[in-house]
Amino acid sequence: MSKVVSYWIAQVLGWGTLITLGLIFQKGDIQPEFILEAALFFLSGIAITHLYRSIIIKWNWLTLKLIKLIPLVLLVSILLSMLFFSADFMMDYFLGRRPIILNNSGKVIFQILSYASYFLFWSIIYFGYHLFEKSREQEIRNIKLIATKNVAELQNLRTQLNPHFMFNSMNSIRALVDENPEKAKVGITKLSNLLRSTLIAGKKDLLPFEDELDIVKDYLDLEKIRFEERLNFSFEIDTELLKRNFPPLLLQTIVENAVKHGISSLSQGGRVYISAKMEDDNMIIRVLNSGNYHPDKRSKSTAIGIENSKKRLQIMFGDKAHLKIGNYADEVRTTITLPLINI
Amino acid sequence: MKIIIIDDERLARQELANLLSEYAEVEIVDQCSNANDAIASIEKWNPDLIFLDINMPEKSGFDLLIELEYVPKVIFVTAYDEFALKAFEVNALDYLLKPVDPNRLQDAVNRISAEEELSPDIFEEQNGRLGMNDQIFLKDGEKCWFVRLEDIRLFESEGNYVRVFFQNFKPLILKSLNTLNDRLDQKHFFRVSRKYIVNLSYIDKVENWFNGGLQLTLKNGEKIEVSRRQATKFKDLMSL
Repeated sequence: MSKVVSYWIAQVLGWGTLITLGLIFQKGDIQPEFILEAALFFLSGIAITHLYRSIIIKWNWLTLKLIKLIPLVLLVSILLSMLFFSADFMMDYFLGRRPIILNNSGKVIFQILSYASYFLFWSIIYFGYHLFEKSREQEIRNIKLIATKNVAELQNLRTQLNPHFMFNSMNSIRALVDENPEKAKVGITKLSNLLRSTLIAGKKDLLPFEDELDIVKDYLDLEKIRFEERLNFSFEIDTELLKRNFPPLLLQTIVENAVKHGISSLSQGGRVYISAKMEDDNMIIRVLNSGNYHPDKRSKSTAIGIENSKKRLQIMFGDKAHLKIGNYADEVRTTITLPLINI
Repeated sequence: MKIIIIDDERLARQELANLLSEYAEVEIVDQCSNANDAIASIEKWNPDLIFLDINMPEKSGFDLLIELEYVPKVIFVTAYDEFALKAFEVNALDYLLKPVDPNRLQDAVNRISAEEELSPDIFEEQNGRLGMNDQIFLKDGEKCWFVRLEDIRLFESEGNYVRVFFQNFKPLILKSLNTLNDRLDQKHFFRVSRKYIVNLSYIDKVENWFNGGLQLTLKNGEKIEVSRRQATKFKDLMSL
């Protein structure tokens, strides 16, 4: 329903109700001229308020602040009611009905004020409706704005393969070409797989958890080539979860941090343990790695990695997902909790 | 040319050793997997050149250089670390990116060989003292420098630290002025007071000062006082 149609319906219903009530509470029998008078009242009411509306639109009163609008509305209501009163008076005069005693000023003022209350009431409905509409539109605009911002932010937060890792990996594989050509071939295949899947995954909002695990496994296999006996890793995955959806490269980011700050910073190396379990309606993923977590000591890139992962979860799942990181004994434990998502 | 390869990854050391095996003039005297081993090895072998990885566990390549008494020529080898390399403001510095491009390695080795021929005795240490061509590694916050001793005009004691003045820079090093004085060439550096050691070749003017002391004006206009006790020694030294 267009706004103009609602406006006319409201006009007719409003003034209609008013005269109906007037006729119902009319003392004595309803005489034909009452009906005529009521009809004229109805029409002039609509005419005057319609004029009022054109003024409101022409002078942009809808944009006025309440502090200016309220006195203006009060004043206009009285002016309109005087106009209405004059029309009423002239109507009575031409109809030759009982003339209103003009010299009884008290009665005149009372009449004007009671008409003014109609216009005031009309104004409250008219401005109230627009105010309500405006705030609702504003709210919709805000929600849309936040949504666009989130989309843009999510695109930024998506991780890419760390170039440091890429080049180190290629360097190790280059050394393997002489030492162990078979292993070098496997390394090249894994590196291409990883590069391809991160490129594809990076464009998606969600991907099956088993695909994410493949990426993580390829990554760890490659780091194992580089760190040799310094890196050990193991998985414990609830198979139920393999077919669930997962934010791409989220686990990869955490595991990369675990290797970068756990394993590569220890001369003796250490282990990375990854578990994924289903608890109630949640997916609980734990990454344990040797080493120590010092948020302040860490490089900027890591802090960004963890912070971005937290933000991604917040944007995608709100309070239903979280990421916690902390030290337990000699290990760093990262826990990701997120709701189960079906493919 | 004696070289040492320092990298925490075996395959990375292996790879560089393979590439260097092509060069007849290069002799790999040692390979080290961490900074502490490397410091001992450098002191033992006095290499002409080290290939140094920046990112290593526990102690980085920079930490290693700071601890060295004498710094050989260094070629950094790093995967992708613009940040670390940006630390070097002034010096032309040699670095190679992993995986190492054999052509770039050749350029770097040739350049260092050429420098060797120009000043064959890079390591001029005599009686445990450093030569004027020897370089030291300085790090101040995020910035790093390799500086030849001949380019340093002044050392100033500051608590447990010594401030090193060269060009427009004055970074701090964690050393005492006494230890430093024992390592410097007495023909070129002179301890003028408890607070300062001056590079003699940077002195522009000498004036008499109060209480039989002296005031030195350096070439850049800096003024340094020579204590009374040291003034006598200074006059003796200069009159020779």
